[in-house]
Amino acid sequence: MSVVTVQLGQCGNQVGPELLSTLCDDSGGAGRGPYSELSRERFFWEDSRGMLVARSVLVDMEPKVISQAVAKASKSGKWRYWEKAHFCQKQGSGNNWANGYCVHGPRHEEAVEDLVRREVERCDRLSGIFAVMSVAGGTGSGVGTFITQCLRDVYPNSFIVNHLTWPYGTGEVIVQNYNSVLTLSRLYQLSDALVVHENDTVHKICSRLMNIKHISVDDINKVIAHQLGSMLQPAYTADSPTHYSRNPIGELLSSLVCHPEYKLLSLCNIPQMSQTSLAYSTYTWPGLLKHLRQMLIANARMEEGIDWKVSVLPSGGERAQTRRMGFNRSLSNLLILRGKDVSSADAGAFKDPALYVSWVPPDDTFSSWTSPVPFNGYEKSATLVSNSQFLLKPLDNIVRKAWNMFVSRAYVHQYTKFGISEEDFLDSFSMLEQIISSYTHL
Amino acid sequence: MQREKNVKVREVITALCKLLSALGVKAVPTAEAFRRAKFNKTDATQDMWKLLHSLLMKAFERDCACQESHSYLDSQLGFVRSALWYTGYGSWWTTNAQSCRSTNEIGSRDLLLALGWVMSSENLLESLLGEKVLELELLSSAPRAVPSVEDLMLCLSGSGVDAAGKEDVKNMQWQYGKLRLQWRNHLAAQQEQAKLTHKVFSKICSSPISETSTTSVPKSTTSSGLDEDLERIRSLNEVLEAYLEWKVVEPLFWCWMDSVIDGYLSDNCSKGLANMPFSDHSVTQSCSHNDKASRSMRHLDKMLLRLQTEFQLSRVEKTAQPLTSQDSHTGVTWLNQEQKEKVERRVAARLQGLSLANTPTAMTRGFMPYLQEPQASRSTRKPQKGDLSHEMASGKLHVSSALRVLKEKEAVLLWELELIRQSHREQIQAQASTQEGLVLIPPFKR
Repeated sequence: MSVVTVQLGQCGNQVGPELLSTLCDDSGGAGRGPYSELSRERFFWEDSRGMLVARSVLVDMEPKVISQAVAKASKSGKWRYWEKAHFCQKQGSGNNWANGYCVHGPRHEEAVEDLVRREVERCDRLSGIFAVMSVAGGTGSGVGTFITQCLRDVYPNSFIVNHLTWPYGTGEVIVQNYNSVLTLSRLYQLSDALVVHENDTVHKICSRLMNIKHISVDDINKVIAHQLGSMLQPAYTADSPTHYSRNPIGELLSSLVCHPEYKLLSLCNIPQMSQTSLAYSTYTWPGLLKHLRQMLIANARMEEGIDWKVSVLPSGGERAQTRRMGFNRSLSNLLILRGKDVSSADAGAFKDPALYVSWVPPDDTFSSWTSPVPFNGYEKSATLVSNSQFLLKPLDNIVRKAWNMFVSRAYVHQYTKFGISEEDFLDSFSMLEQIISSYTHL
Repeated sequence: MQREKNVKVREVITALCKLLSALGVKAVPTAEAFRRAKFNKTDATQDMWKLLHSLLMKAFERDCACQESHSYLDSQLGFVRSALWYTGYGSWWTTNAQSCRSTNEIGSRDLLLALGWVMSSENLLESLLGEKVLELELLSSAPRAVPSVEDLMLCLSGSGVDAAGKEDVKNMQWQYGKLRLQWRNHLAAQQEQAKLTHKVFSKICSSPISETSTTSVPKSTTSSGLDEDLERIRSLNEVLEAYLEWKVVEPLFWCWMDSVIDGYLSDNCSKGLANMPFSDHSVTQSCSHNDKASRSMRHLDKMLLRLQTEFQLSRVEKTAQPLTSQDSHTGVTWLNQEQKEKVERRVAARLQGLSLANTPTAMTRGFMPYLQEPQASRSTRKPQKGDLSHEMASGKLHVSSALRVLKEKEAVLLWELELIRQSHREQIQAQASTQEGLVLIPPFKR
């Protein structure tokens, strides 16, 4: 029952080790018994000396980030990457999606597939493939999309979940929106679910909640890893209420993304704070859940600055009104509670049918997982994985910006020279417009 | 050296025989029969005949329509002959029904050559293997009877669906998606179980599973369902192993087949053409020249078929859609004159298209490849347009004129397809203009 992580490109190879470190540290505490065992089996295997080795494949077109990741892992002394589990080249993709997708991807398809196959064969049961990448650059997005496509061909019945980091609105890369559009439109057809983190949101969490003055990539990645970790660590679920679920990805998907038109998942998490203030804070479950619920309906991604005026509107109400009120309608939500006294927490407020679209069967709209083991140093922690209108606005922004550039054909020749035609762009745009429309009309 | 080679050939043919019997082909003879057939021994005829017949039966049984059309044939000979025609094989005993009235007249080498032809054309072994795997691997094949999401989407796009209907469809899609996810969960669980069982057994036996250990397996597990699964997996393994083995030695088999053909040709030369039935010599010799023509003919044939099905599909859709949409309109408003004219024009154009597309051509009859003697073909002049009717009357049609006819037909059908496409585009635009909030991005013109 294991998850193979595939780290693609610079971003993937930075988020990946951070996530694995978080998981390894969290499962390392004393007296955690089956929780720890299961978590380790899920993401690591043991070598002959008893050292944990990540079930990971590292792919990048430049060696720098991979060697950093490998070094960082071995330095931790708790886990490492397998020596033969990485693939890198000397020349990057130059932030060009087409270069990654049409040139690098096909050229190295076989080598990467081999690496993944080796990891998959090491698992007794493949719970799923978790591909970590960004959508903005060239390698993560372009090669990543191509690799996802190959993996889908090789493992048609396995679960493939992509974790995507969306770029800052005021971007680092001029063509980031092109890359995002091309990546998202393709992955939407290949992947079972897209778990999204926006850099802007995470940055805000770092600055406002964690009180970090000079925010580095590491800080951002730590927050992402924390949220992902709390989603991926063992928990009791509806299917296995008495022991830790052995099928995390499968259950995640069947509770959230049953409809192929709606695959965008967002994560929010409460509480989140700096290590120093953690020691002085106490929380109650009702308080946490009340905040989290308001975050959900008011479309707030962190507990600061929640609009408490937004209230739940009855289903089928005026759309214009819904939009004006800023109410966030969901298809389905998954609440994960970890820590002390979880059994006392009452998640009834999340079951309100008015939160959800009417056509999703009422039993499928909400599920909750629990674990009595505190996660990552937090005595109590609640995570919400939501398939809702959360990502509508950022997605709309990406598509709009990309379209504005495309109208004047800016930089398009950089893509056509590698074989991505204008038609391909248009297909991607219409695909994303369709997704936006689907989510808008919930 | 010679002996070593013989042993090798025997192994190769044994691998083939093993694969064939694993695939469920009945009456597979021994390698010795193949060897004797190479030298055209009469005692191998019966064996080779049975093999050829059962292989062709196996190959065509999935083609229900094909089997029906052949059910009237009262003898095996008729069936085999027509099946060989179908695969494009032309030898003296298949092309000329008069020259061969019973199976005894056919030499074992002729049968062997036919067998080689059948095996090499259209990946017969691979498709049989695919079927067998599907049959044995019950769980890993996706549920088939359930409609795909695309089908459901089609339902959604049907014109008469209102808001409530749309919600129902989405609900259905959700439930269906959930079922699929659960199915994949079960599949993963099953794979895990298989892997763990294997681990346990290999631990118990300390050596990789051998004959003795596998016999003890069913005893330790009492469930009959598991036994069946195990049996299925075992036979699947057998089939796959046989196929792998065959794939390794396959090139050698074709080398050997070359030697069979060489033997056949040299025999024919020494006997002289006089003894041989009509056109037999030319078949094998002019094969490579005519191959191209027949291939392109088959290609055209396929294209024709595809166009026809596409056309029929779109016709079905078209007749279904405009009627419903017009029905709903006529109840409310009358068509004005301009619209009427437009509709009439469209109908006329479509009728013309229909008649053109459905005019029986020379090719609708179906022809059997017939090869002229090389000298004769050289002397024939190039067929002119007027020759077509003449050729038709004589019941023969030259390949080139057949090609011409097919090309004309193709042009008509393509034109028809373009017409349909255009009208569809118009319809989509018309529908899109009534939909609120739907944005269609037109393709760019440079």
